Amino acid sequence: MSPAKIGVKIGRGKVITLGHYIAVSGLLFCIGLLGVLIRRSVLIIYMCLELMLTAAALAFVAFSRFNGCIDGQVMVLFIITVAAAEVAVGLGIIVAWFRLQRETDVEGMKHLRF
Amino acid sequence: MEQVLLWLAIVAPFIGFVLILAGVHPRWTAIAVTFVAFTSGAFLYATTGGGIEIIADAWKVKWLELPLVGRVDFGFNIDGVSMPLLLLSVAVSFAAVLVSSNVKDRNAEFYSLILLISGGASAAFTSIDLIGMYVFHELALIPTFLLISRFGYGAGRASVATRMAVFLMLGSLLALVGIVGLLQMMPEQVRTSNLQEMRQFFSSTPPVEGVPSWVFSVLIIGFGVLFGLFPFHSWAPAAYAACPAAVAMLHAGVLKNFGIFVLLVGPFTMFPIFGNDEFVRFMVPILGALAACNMLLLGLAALRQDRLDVTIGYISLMHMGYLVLGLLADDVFTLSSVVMLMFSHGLATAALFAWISYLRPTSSTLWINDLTGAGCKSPELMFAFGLAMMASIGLPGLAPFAGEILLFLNAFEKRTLLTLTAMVGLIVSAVILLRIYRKVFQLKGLATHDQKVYSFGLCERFTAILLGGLLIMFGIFPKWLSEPAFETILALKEQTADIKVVRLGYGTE
Amino acid sequence: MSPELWWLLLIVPLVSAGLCTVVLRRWPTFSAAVSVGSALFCFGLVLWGIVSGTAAPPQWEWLKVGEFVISLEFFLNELSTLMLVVVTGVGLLVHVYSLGYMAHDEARSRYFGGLSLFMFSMTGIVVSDNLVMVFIFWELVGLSSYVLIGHWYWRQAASAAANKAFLMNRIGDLGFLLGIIVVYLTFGTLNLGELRELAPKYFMAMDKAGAAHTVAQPALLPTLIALGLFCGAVGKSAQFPLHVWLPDAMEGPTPVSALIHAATMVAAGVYLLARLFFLISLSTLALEIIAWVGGITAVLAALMAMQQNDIKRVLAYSTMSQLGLMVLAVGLSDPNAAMFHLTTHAFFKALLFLAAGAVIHALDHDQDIWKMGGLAKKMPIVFGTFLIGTLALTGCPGLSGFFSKDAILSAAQVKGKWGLFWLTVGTSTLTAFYMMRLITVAFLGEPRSEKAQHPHSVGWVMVLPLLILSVPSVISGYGEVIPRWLAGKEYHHHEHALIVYAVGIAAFFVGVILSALLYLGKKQDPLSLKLLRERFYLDEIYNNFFVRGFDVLGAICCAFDRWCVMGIGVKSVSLSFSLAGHLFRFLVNGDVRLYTFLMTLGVVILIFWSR
Repeated sequence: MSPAKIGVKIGRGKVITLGHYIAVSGLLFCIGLLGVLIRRSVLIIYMCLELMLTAAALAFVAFSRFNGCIDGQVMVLFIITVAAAEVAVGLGIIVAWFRLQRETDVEGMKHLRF
Repeated sequence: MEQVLLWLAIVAPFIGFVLILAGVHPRWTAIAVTFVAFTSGAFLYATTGGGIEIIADAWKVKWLELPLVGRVDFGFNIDGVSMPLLLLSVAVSFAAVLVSSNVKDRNAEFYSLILLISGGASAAFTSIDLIGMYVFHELALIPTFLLISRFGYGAGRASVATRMAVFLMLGSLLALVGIVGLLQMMPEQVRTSNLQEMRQFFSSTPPVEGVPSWVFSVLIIGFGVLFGLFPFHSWAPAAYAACPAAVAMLHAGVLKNFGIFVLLVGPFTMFPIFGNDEFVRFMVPILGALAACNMLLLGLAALRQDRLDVTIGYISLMHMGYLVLGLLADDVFTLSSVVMLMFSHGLATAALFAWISYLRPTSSTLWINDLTGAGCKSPELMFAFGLAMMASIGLPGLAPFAGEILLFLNAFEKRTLLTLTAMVGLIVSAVILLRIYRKVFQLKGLATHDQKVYSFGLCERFTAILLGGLLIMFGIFPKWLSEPAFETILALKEQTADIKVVRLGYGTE
Repeated sequence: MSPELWWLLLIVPLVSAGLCTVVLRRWPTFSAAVSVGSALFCFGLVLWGIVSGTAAPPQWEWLKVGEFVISLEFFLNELSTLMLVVVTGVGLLVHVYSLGYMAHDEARSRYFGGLSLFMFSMTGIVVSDNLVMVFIFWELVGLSSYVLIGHWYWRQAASAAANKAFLMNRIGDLGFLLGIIVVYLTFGTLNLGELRELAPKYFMAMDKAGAAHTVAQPALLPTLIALGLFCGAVGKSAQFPLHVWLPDAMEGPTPVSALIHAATMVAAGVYLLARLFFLISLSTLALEIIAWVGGITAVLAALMAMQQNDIKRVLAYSTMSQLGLMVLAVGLSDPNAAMFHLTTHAFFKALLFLAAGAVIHALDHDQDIWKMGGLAKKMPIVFGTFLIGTLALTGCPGLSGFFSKDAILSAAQVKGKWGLFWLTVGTSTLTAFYMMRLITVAFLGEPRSEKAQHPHSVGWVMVLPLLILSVPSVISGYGEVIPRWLAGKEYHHHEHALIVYAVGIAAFFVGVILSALLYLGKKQDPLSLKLLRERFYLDEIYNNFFVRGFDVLGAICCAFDRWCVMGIGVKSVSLSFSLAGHLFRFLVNGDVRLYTFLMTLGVVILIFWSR
């Protein structure tokens, strides 16, 4: 059976296809991107960054499920690991920065230039 | 035998450069090395009859293989056009080094860079390869900037040097684009920038699609910047004002001629450039107008300058207009006169810069009003400067006159208006230089600057004899210059291909 | 005499000049000896050459470009040998005179070097057979003049005068050069020998009908040629528009004025016209112009001379006037009359200048005639020779000037050009007037100043040339020797009309008597004609118009170059670079959000572009 036709049955005749998953993933990604671009608080930006990563992971899982191979799910494991490491490092920088600045605004990071 | 002399004349300055860096006494090394170069150059001139006979089987080697440019050779040879320029280069280098006795500190830097310029200039003129010429010219140009900013005069010398550097680099870039465009006309397999082979190729198998005319325009503008064609000349006067004497002599006397030289041995004798309608209709009137501006506008502008060195700088730019006239008249005689004039005006300009440097009080520039009557105290300087000045204004009996008369006689028919302008330029230059001579050398005792009485030492006498002697010698025997130049250019012109020069784009019509 | 010896005529003075200027600078006595020796040698060589009558030497190639050759050849016909005699003879006398006059000058070496250079260049002009070679020596003569006028260069007036002379000569030379170029383009050769063959055939070739006619018409090219060549003469011989340098040239030492600005250099213009007459005569229009320019110059100069108070300046204007007469004669198609007058003029004018120099020397370099007086009694020999020179100049019957001036008058009368005839008569009258004025004021009457009371004595070295020159001033007109010599085989003797003699003699007497009446015994000038004294304000006009005009032009060009080319052109390039820099500055300000935005933008563009 073709992957696109494999669906999850929910109720009378409606099937959740790959497309739905990808749409959700895309939506999540865009929300995350928007958040990164627009929000001023560094922590919120960071959370939106995580959201983008999660969206990518969701896409991978969806493809893995609907294509029948396990590679996508392995990729997700990698993504989670990398995300964790990145969070550790990033939060460390943010905490160090805030010990100095005492404010949460990303505008303040301009001074990192000098 | 001639090969050895040629290589000696070219390589000696570089050897000197290395020796100075290694710690040998700078001034003595420089004098010795340039003396060796000069004597080899002079002997070479005598034995090859001024360059009539090319050195057969001169040593050359394949140097590089570049994508757009093809094969680049390395080697040197002389002919009637490059031999006088080589002689000019070695003579002026020797004189320049002799004249620089006032440079006391950081000698090594100074003399090593001067030797680089000298060697680069000699190599540029005698290189057998177009890209080689370009490279050696750049090699000669770069130390100029360093020398002006480190050893120059005047408070603004760094900015003047920078401006000159950027200007000349832009010009060189344009010239390079033109050269590459020219080389693109040859197919990949045979592409080489060896001049001899280029000529043979273009005369035997002319490119089917013709040569795009933009190539010539770019070449002319690019090299125009290098020799100071009218709108692109602004780097010159201020730069010469800030230069130390040796650099001014080498640059204004020798390196400036490089632009005209390449145009002469390149486009103007390789292609029947004037056969093309579009070129004749557009570029020639424009070039003519620009040359006229060089001769008149810059000449008249020189009248009102307050500084002696700037004035001489403008006068040297004026002479370039004459050279362009010679190129435009496209006649074997006028092209020979271009060679003669390059040599003679180069000598005269170098001599002028040499002598005015003696009037310079310590570390400041030469304001004419301050110098009134200064030269009166030194009769030898008066005489030497007077000789150089008379040569510059074209007095018969000194070298430049022969070239000028040849030019006027033969260019009059084709470029009447421009020749008339050139003749008026003779009067303008006479007015300017005589006025300066009068003010600086003849009116006694009004100098407000505290001048040291300059007495002529051995070095100065040597320089005076060298430069003045060459000017007089080639004034009395101009056929030593004219015959080789004529023979060579005749041979070159006979090789000129019958190529059509196309209007549009790159390659196809 | 072997032909090669002729080269020495040029080489010896040149070597002498080189030695005097460069090598022997510190030993003026040696320089003087070398220079005088070379002048003596040249004169002797010329005489021997004439007597033994040899062919000219082979040519020497100066410039050779393929088949185009400019070479130095000697052409010795009657005209050039006459001129050679004049040049070397008067030159020798001036050299000897200078030994005395410049005895106390420190820069004698430079002076004698200049004199030798002059002899070299002038001889070159006389003998050259190629137009470009003539031009070369022409300019070298200008150089010698510059060097010699500016001998005392620390004096403002002298250096300005040298400058003016050189520049005016150069302007004339521009016309000369143009003429040469047109000759080259028309006839294809610059060699006078070949031109002599080609020129008469010029109009024959033009006539399509085939009939040979050699009547000269005012066709364009020959007129251009003639006028161009005439420009050179105008500059060198100080004719009307380019004359202002000659009076100023009197700032030079007097022997220089005698040699260069009286006898030889200024005469070179006339000589050129006579030598190239076969070319110039191709155009009647040009001949008219030449004649009138000469006539106008003659009259103007005579008028200006009437009111000058410097003894040398009077003589300078007189020279200008006489040159005008010579040019007039050429314009009347009688070059032989012009050369006759040139020869006689060379003798008596040199005599006058040298005598004036003796006076100046005796009076400690005071040149104002109103400070002189009574010198006839104090310096009899000088007075005697000066009187002889004056009588010759003014055309006193029996002396050389009379004959040569009459030749010119006769030429005018024969051709029926009455305007020019009366112009010449007027000039003669004025000449007699001002020269008599000079004699009366400077030599007769009572001494008017301390210096005139007790003039120094003048050494025999200076008096001898005066005496020697008096002889040809008197006798060189007799027997029509010179015209006979010049015309050679074509000479035909014709009697001048009676009116010519009558008018000539009348002019002399009228001028002399009027002047004597006005000036005998006066203490200051009874006539005061400001216009004439200020030389028609021509100097001021030239100064304000041309010199200032040049300056204004120069200022405009300078400003254009500085503000337009540099300011707009170059600055625009550099400004554009710095503007670009300013623009891009805002992209790198450390703002993280800007960076992320740009990154996102970049990715989006890449995605859409790669589709």
